[in-house]
Amino acid sequence: MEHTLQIEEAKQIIAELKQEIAKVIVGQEQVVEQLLWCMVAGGHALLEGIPGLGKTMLVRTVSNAMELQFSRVQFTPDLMPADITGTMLLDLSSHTQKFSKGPIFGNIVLADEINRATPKTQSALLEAMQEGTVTAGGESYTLPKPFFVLATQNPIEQEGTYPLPEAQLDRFLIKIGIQYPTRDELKEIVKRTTGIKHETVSPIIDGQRLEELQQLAKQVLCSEDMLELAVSFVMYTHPHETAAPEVIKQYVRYGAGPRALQALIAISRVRALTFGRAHVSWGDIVYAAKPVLRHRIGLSYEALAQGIDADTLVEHIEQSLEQQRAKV
Amino acid sequence: MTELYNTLKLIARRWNRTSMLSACIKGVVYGSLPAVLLLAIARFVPILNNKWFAAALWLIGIAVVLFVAWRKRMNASGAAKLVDVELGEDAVRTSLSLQEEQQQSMMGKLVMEHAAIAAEQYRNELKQRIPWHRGWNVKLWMYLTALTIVVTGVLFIVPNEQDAVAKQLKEQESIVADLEEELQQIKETVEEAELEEQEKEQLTASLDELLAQLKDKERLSLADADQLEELLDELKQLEQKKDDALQRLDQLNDAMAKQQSLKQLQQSLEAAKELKKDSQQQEIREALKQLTPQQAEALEQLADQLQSTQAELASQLGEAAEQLATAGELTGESAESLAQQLSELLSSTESSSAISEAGESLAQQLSEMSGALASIDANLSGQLANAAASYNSSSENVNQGTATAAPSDGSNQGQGQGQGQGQGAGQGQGQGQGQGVGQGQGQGAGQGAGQGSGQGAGSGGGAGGSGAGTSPGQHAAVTTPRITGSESDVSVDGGPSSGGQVSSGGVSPTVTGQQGSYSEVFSEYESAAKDSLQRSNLPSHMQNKVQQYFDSIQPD
Repeated sequence: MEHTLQIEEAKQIIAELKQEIAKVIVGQEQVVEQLLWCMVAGGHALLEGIPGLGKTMLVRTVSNAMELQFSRVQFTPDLMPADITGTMLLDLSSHTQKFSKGPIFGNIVLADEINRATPKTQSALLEAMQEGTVTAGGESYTLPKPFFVLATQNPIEQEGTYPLPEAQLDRFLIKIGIQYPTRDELKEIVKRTTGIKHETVSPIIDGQRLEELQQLAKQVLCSEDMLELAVSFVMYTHPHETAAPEVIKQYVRYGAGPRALQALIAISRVRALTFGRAHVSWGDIVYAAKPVLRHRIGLSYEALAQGIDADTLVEHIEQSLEQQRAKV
Repeated sequence: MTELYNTLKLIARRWNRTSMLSACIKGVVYGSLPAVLLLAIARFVPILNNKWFAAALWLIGIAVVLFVAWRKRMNASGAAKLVDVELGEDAVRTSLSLQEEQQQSMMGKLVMEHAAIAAEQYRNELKQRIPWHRGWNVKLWMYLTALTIVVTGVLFIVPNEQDAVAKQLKEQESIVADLEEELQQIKETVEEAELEEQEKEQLTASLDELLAQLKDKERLSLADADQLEELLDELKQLEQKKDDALQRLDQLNDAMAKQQSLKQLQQSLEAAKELKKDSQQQEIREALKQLTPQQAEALEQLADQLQSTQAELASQLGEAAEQLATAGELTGESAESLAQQLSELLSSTESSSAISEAGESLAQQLSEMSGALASIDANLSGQLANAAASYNSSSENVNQGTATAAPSDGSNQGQGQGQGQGQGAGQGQGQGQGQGVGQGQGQGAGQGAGQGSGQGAGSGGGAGGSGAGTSPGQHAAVTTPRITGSESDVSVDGGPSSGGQVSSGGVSPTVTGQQGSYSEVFSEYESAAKDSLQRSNLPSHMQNKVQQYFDSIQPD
């Protein structure tokens, strides 16, 4: 009985979060949904979109809705690692050195335009994401929990940037693509942002509640059949896989790793929880596949030349597995 | 979980029933295709029992389709997948895959509850979700089924000319097989038969040719089969004739063997026939040396008669007889030549026509001789008469009978057995029993079942002497012939031996005899015998026999 209520409560909480965030963020339902899934799954997200789409506003709003500490880091080429992690400062009153925490010490860290910073600076952030601690002055400082890094990238201004290496990209649970708003959404955005009245977001949950949701999501059941399908999904991203679709063999240079499967199952469980189910379904896996795999598939030059993106390839894999699943 | 399984089984059962129904409909169509094809081909090519084969193909097609459908039947797991796919929640398969402890957890219970709801929902919508025409276009398949049934029915019902042709071909094959077997048997019989090598080879070659033709079935037609059957019948008839001739020859040999005077000749001839050794020929030579001039003259007459039928051998025989008559004694070469000719004649008489004509002629000659010898030796005369009666013709009016002559006075017992066609001789002493052709010397008290041409020249006082020989004897009663040494042994005429017709009744063209005193008849009989002996070239010992006979019946 208790679990049943929790599942229903979790479903309700997530629904309320969506509604609350929607007061400020116009449109972008999928972005919000995926972002919430990522946070409930306990992972980090990479947001990709052109400037001005409200990425910073989104993260700030989510943090406000979850009553989490928000910090923002604007990555520039001259940004130093210490600017992210913090540095030792001399305290004149006590004549001692104190560690001054950097912006990374927040529940939600917005790493804006992460690809503009140098790899050294990027690695400092990514190391903190991986370890959950920051080492400075010979001491380790634990990052707060929950801890989320929401990094952003600008897909159009690539000059003078330092694209994240594949190994670093793999640390992000999902990659969320922010689309340009529709006509009506633009109108709404303008109405909300240029007027006098500004909507605010009320906190729905706090950090502790969020952690409980994370624990509950991990208990969602995943059958052997679903696990098989998820494994097939990841395996089919590899061009050397015999059963992989022909397009994969033609346009993919390298496929997703084991972290992709972990992310796929984690996100699927959260989605099932979002719909009040205690088990993962095929729809959950299908819906989670694109955000999980799009930044983990290495495209060939032929794919880049022909403008074929990872989402298209993921759709091919989905169709192939759908035919297998439908054989009764 | 049990309830969930039951629901899933119900779903699976519905699915399987619709699958089997679909398989039946499709099986009718798929099975009809080869059947229709076969029936269509059978309209142009004769195929025996094509309708049965078509029916079998149709049933096999249905069975195969049903079997495939049965192999693909759904179980509970398949039903779970079906529910999950259509309802899109995957709760059923998740619940089926839960382990025991998972089932006991609150999450597990929630999943099972969800699965039960989904399965129940599917069950409630079962007929809509799994209709009876699932997976196939009803109209299309119904049209196809009706079409195939109509086409198949038409091909079944409408008569097919090729069926009769197929039956005929089957019959032909059967006839050919039977003919082959019979030809093979005939071939074996021919090879085992006692024929000359040349004749054997000839027959065997003919049979081999026939067999070769039979084996080449493509060239056979009904006409050929009928022709072969006719040939087979002819072969059978020839074989039968050969068997009859051999049988008569054997009987002649037996008859000759019983005649003491002819026994040696008979043995020599038979030995010559079988072994053809010089020693047997030497015996023949010895036997021939004993021929009297009258006997030689008789042989000459025989040769004259044989000339028309067997010119070469007859002339040789004639030459031999002349030699006998003039020289009185055969030289070595002549004897050998005559022996060889007689051997050839004997071997050649295995052909039925030669033996029949020779037999008839010989019989006639012997009967003449017996008449001439009646006054000399009644016994010998009777023996010769019986020996003549042992010949019969090759075909018609064969009458097997026995004729035994028993002199009334018992002075000499003339005996003989023969198969006669009205051949006989009236024998002297009023006791003669003859059949058929009786040159009735003396009293032709012929009695017997003689038929046909009874040329009874019954001279003398013989009563009867007719061919039929039915009149009773006068004076010294002539009794029914009995075999010497046996009082009760009577041979009964068994009718025709082979072929021919048996005619009874009618009047035998014989001359009835006259009654007279015995001494008067005897003297006439004896003088006639002497005249005959002078004309014929019988060996001396045979002449002596005739003389002895007449001495035995001489009146007191």
